[in-house]
Amino acid sequence: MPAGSLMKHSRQSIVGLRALIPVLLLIFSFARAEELRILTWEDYIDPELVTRFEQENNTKVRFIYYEDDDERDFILANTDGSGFDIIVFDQTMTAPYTKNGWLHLFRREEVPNLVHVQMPMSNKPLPEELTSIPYSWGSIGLLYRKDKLTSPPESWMDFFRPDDYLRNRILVINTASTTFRLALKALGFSLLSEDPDHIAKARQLLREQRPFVRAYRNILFGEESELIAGKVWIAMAYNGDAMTVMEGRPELGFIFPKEGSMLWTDSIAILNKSSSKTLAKQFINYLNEPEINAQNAEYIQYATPNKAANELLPKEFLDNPTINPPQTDRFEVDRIPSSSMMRDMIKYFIQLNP
Amino acid sequence: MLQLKTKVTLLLLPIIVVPMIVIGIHFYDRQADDLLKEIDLRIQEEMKIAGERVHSRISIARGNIGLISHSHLIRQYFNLETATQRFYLYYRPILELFRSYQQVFPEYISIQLLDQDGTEQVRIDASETPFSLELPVQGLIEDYPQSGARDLTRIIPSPDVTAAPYLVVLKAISAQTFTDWNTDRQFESAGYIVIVTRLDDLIKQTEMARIGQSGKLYMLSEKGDRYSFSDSKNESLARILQSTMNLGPATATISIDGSSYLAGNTQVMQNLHIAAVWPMSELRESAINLARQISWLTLFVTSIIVVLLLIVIHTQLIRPINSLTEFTRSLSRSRMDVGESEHRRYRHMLARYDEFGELAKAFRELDGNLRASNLKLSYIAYHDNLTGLANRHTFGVFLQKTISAAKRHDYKVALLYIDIDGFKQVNDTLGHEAGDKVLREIAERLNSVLRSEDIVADFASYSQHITSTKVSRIGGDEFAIVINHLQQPQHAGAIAERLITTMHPPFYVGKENFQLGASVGISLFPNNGSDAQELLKCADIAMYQSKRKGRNRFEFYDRSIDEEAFRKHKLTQDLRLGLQTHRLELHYQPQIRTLDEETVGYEALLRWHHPEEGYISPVVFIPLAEECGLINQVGEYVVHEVCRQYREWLDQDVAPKKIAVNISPFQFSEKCNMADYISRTLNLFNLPGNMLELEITETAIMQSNRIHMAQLEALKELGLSIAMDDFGTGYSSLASLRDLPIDQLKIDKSFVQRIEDDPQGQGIIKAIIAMARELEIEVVAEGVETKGQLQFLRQHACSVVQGYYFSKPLNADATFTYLTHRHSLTKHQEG
Repeated sequence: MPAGSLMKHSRQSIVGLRALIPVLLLIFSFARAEELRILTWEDYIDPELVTRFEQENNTKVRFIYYEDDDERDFILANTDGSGFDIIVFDQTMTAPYTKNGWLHLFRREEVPNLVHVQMPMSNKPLPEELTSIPYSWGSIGLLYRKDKLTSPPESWMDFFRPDDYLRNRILVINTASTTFRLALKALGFSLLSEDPDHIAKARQLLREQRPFVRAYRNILFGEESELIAGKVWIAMAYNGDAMTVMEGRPELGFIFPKEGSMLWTDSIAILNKSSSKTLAKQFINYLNEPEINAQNAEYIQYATPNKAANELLPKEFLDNPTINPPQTDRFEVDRIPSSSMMRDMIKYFIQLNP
Repeated sequence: MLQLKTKVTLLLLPIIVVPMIVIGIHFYDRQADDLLKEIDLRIQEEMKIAGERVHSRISIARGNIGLISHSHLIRQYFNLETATQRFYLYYRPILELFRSYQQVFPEYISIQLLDQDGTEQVRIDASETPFSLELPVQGLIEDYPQSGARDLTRIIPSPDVTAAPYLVVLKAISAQTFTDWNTDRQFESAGYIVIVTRLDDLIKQTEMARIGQSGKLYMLSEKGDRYSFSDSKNESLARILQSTMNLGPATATISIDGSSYLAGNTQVMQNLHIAAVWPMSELRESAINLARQISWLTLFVTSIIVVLLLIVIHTQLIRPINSLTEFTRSLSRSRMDVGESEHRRYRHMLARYDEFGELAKAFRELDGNLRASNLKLSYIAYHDNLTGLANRHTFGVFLQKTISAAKRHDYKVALLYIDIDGFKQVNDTLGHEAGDKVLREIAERLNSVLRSEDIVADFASYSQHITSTKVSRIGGDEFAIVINHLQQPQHAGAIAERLITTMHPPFYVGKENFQLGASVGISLFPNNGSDAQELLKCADIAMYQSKRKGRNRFEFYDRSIDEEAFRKHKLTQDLRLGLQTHRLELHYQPQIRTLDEETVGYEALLRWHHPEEGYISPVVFIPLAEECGLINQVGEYVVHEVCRQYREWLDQDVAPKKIAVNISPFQFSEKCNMADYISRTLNLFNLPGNMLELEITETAIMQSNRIHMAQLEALKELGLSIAMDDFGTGYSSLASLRDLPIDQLKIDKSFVQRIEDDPQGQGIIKAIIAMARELEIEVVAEGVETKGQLQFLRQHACSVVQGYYFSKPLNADATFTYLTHRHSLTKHQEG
């Protein structure tokens, strides 16, 4: 689902941006000729492939980036599912989005290359009619500074109930449900537990962790990264992001804690209000060309649900345990929480993060 | 002068200060009115401002609710049919929307989205809210349609009693909210948006406002309870606030607990009143302030006026007075000392037509009178007022001057000393008036003799005040004459001869006539002495000589004259004077009982301090007094003085048992009834007889036949005791001792002093003591000076001693000290 953000906006500027979104969208809608607008994570697609697509189809692809899942939902709520042609989003939100009529329902045959794609984990083929197509899948672990930590983390508890010296040295992902569920995992409960007692304990654990947290956000890449600058010593990170940041940085380490983690899938979908649905389908089809898809997977460092692409990918990529976490019980597949649970998590989480 | 200035200033001060105070009171009245008006205005203004703050908050909250409800997030939220979808897709965005409002308006402690039934949908609370805020949602929703307005505004009390209440603004959202079209769900409410805003900041702001110094504003509930941002309880304030609820926005005076307040009350909205309370006591403070200002003003004005006054007083009063004083002083100086410019000033002074001019004239008159009386006084001072001759003082001065002049110009001077013989009898038989008349005639005769002689030619130059100095009267019946520029001593003799002759004719007083004579003594300068003192003495001796030689004659001073006899004569005169002037003093020597060293009495001893010759012993002057018949006076003086002193000590509660006085045998002469005198004196001082002891020398008793037994008996009857003094020197016979009424023997000090080195002396003392014991007479040893003597006497039962060993004779003051010391010692022992 993710992509590390190169943006370094402060929280205030994000709020400002959010307020501007409707205006920006209005301007775009008048300015464009035939072009694709994609709402996605930053740096979550190989720009070389995009350029190639633009040249081949004589079109323009524009990207609008969101920083986390909650922000994306906020944007869509504000635009009521309009203003974009394609969105990349958390697979679990497919049902509410679809039900709200935001996603375009189409037949699988309309995008020929979907024959290469199957549902991750379950390995089931895609349904005949669908609103979203799997784009990548992955997990969440701990990225840390080997040279700063007295010992490498092993457990989620090392992260949620850290040693005293880690005060103000921790980054936590700013998505209510994700963070809440990993706290449940740390406490030894199921990721998907909605037992009020478990939730209360997880809420308490997050409260206690609050003083150690430098910020609630995704890790940054490059020089801005607080992890690289040494201000943050341990961070909750998407595995692919971790792979990208760790490149050429031997002081960084990444582990999946012993309790296991969450397995998530990111999907791609065409919005119902898009007026360029055909071009959108062409783009999705292009992305699922085996060679293209493999090149993209290698670029973004995430596993792909495209079987044909997997066959083209090198062994090191496929055998890398960070990219392909071990398929055991401890790694639980993410599912959407009940709506009231969703509300409570958001409510509690927002109290942590004013 | 300063005093005059001060007096005038003090007199005028009240005239300045009182009007200032009256003005001050008037100002206070006016200022009090102004202040009340101003306070009234301020109350109206502040209440309005406070009310506007609340209204402004309400209207902003309404505006924000309007903005929120028109947000399409809200519209989409309510367009969704199911709660599930609402929560999945819109919960977070609406939360963020609310949060963005809350960040801009931190006073919104809660923003809530309710559904149609009032069930909470989305809600954000200020993080600092210490408790969960539960709104009476159902009540609000029920009230809403009745309010008829587009929204509902309520004050909700805090669940925490001490905390400030909240302002709730609630607005319904319906389909109409999102569109201008009429829909079929026209009046159906979709839900509600609620903003709960804090009021404590407004309450605080309101209570911070000040009216005057300590007037304040408060926000109150409809019951009149103070909406407090702090938890301070104030009962009396609560009562004051309660009573403001009866007032309207117009201010009125209320009285609580004896204090008055100017107060107003205005309703801002339902359940929210603003009360303003201003304590009337501030009026008083303002009065004090004003009083202070006026005090300073008064002080300032007074200072200026005082300075001006002082200047006026100085120029108009003090300076004329000063110059008048100068003028008055100048009058007392001689005219020669007064300068020309001063004269002019004084003339100016006299020419003034005001009171000062009058005063100056009065002073000049007074001066004239003073000069006249001064002349008179000088005459009296320099002359004998009886005869008009120069007095002794003038004579002395003149003699001195004359001698000095004679020394310088080397000429001779004769001094004639004249004593009138027989004048005493005139005085005694015909009285003083006749005596004075005779004296005047004597002076006249003496003068007449000298008138023909120009012997005192340069006399007048001595002093303008002495008109005649030919003859001076230097004593009762003594005159002196100075003869200047004496050619021959015989010339002086000739004059003396004429003086004597002129006294020969009888003097007439009424029908009586007398024969008087003159004895004249002459001394010469420089032959007999070089100064006035010596010359006078010589003339005196010569006069004495002429008297001795038969009176009515003159004698030149002759060195061969018996100076000793003269001295005696002189001393006798001095003793007489000494008695009159109390130059004889009594000293007291304690007598100590050997048994316990208790003081049993004192011996009074007479001391005479001669003005020229110093201390003169009684051994010298008592025989002299006996010889010239003064002894009775001396004796009576001693008794009187001792009794007076004893009375004094008795009154001071320190009197000794008795005091012994020495009696001369001459006092037993028939002429003088001593017992009578003593009895009278004792009565005079109301004293018992036994306080007095008479000491008579053994010699006196034994050798003279003056003392009669009857006299002694009479004294004994008065209660007096008799002591035989200087015993051992007079060879008393035992028999006579036995016959005499003697109470005490005093062993002569010559025996006592021989005790330590003379066995014979010891024997005599032992014998005396033994004899005295036989006769039951007390023995006193005199002149005890050493411890050895005391021990011996004590050993041989001599009962009383007296001497320097214990104390020398002390004067009255020292004796008093000794007595009080003894007395306290005795008391101490008794205690």
